[in-house]
Amino acid sequence: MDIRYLKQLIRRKHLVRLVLQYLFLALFVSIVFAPLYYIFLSAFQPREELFTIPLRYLTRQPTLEHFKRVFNTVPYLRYIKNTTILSVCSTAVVLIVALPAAYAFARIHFPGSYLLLMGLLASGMLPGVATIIPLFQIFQKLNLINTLQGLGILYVSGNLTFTVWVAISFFKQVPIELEEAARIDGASTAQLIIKIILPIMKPGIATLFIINFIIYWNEFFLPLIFARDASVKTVTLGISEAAYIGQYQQAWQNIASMGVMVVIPVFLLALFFQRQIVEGLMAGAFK
Amino acid sequence: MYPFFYTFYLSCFECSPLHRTFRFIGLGNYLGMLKDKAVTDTLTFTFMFTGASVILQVCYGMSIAFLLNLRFRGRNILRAAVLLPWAMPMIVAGTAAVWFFHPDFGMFGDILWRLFDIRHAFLISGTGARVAVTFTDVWKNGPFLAIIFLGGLQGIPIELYEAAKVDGATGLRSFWYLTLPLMVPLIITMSIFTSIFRILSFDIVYALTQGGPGTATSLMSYRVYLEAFRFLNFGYGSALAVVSFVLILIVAIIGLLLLKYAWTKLS
Repeated sequence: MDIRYLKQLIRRKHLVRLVLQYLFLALFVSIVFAPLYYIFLSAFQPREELFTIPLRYLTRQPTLEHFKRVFNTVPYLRYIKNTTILSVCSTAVVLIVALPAAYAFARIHFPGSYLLLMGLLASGMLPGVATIIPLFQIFQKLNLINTLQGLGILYVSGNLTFTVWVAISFFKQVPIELEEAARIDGASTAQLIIKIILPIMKPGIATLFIINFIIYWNEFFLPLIFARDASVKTVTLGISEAAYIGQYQQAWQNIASMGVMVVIPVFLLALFFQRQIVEGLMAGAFK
Repeated sequence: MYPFFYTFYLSCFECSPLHRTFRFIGLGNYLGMLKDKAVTDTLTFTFMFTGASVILQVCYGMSIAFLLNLRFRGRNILRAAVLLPWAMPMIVAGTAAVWFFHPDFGMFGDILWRLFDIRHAFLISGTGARVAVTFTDVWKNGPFLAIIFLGGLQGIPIELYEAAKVDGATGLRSFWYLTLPLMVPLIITMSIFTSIFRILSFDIVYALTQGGPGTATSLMSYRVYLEAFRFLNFGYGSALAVVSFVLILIVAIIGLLLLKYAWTKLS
């Protein structure tokens, strides 16, 4: 009798915990996803359904009219092209520069190497606003404003420190015995790097590629200042343009559909490469 | 590094390509700031926003991390999906938030009205706009912290929990005496970084409030942008940039000291 009562109590306590757990989960899921749902829904809702009181959370006739309008007024394809070129090239250059540097920092210890690393980190920590005005003047003199190359230079230098930082922690995970063994087998440095290090580092490199790509894709401040001309603008700038289509300022349906078009590539990346992204973010945070 | 020192140099000049002036005025720009209500407002909001946002983000991120650390069906999908707010551009989140907080057609406005029968226009009052900016920021960046914290939670060896259980500590007590102290260094590190990024936030106010109403929600970076690239006061803008750099330096130093203190206490 007693024992049965006790068991019941435990079961009930367990049940309460389970219910609470799922309640909190539901709360959290709605906080995270409701705004996203709202954006996607608004992008497909016809205008007359969009501005009703009370709000409608489902749509009867999904429509593509907002997408069409945005597509016809904002040079979306050109912006997407610019953004893609910038993101891919900057990421590639950052990796080409950062990986050897990180490998050197992780493996070769020479007098002052620690100081050099700290100096690099300190210069990378410099906030963008602290350098933006002189950079603007320099770029004006060099005719780099309104060029993709100019933006690319800024993108690369902006993320270099972070990339080196994370890459060092990845390289340190590669056991040094492996390299020693390869050396004993007579591998040259070039062979060592191409045949041993790079294959092992593949996941790490992929991680860095994706994170940098997403950061570049979302960049807004630099293009706002350095890309004044439509031929070099990026999709993030297109958002503010979509807001001013037609007679209504800040027309929500246009913003939402433009937002969806900007967000979908990064969302897909984030979902597919979740594991790699998390790994990279944590490597950057812990070490 | 050169542009950085040039900013210092420039901050002592009255320099504007618009008026074609370039005149040394020493600390004039800095003294001018003290009298500039826009700047004092900006500093106030920068402090409020940074403080409130970081604290809320840490709490929000920590709760998500705990939830995602529990065992339930669909956990992996949720762990992936939680990255979505992080992966979207701040400019999209900010622009969408303009509508999200709309009293009639915004989702937040609508929910408030349905639940509490309140119609409140957030973005027309200073306080409301400040709340909206902070909420949006927490929503967008909290999940990022959650992922980092989750990593931290998973790094705590399970043996420690078992040992605590033997000692009779379960549930809340093991959280308070075991999990939290072990997480403190990570929380401090992430708070430093988050604070620095808050001080530098630009996209969010550009998209959501344009620093308004008035200058109620203007942040340092936004002020630098306005002065330098809208009003073309390069000298004054540089002085503001120097101030934000000093702010960041202070935050970093305080954070590092705290971190050191936490480590000594832990070991």
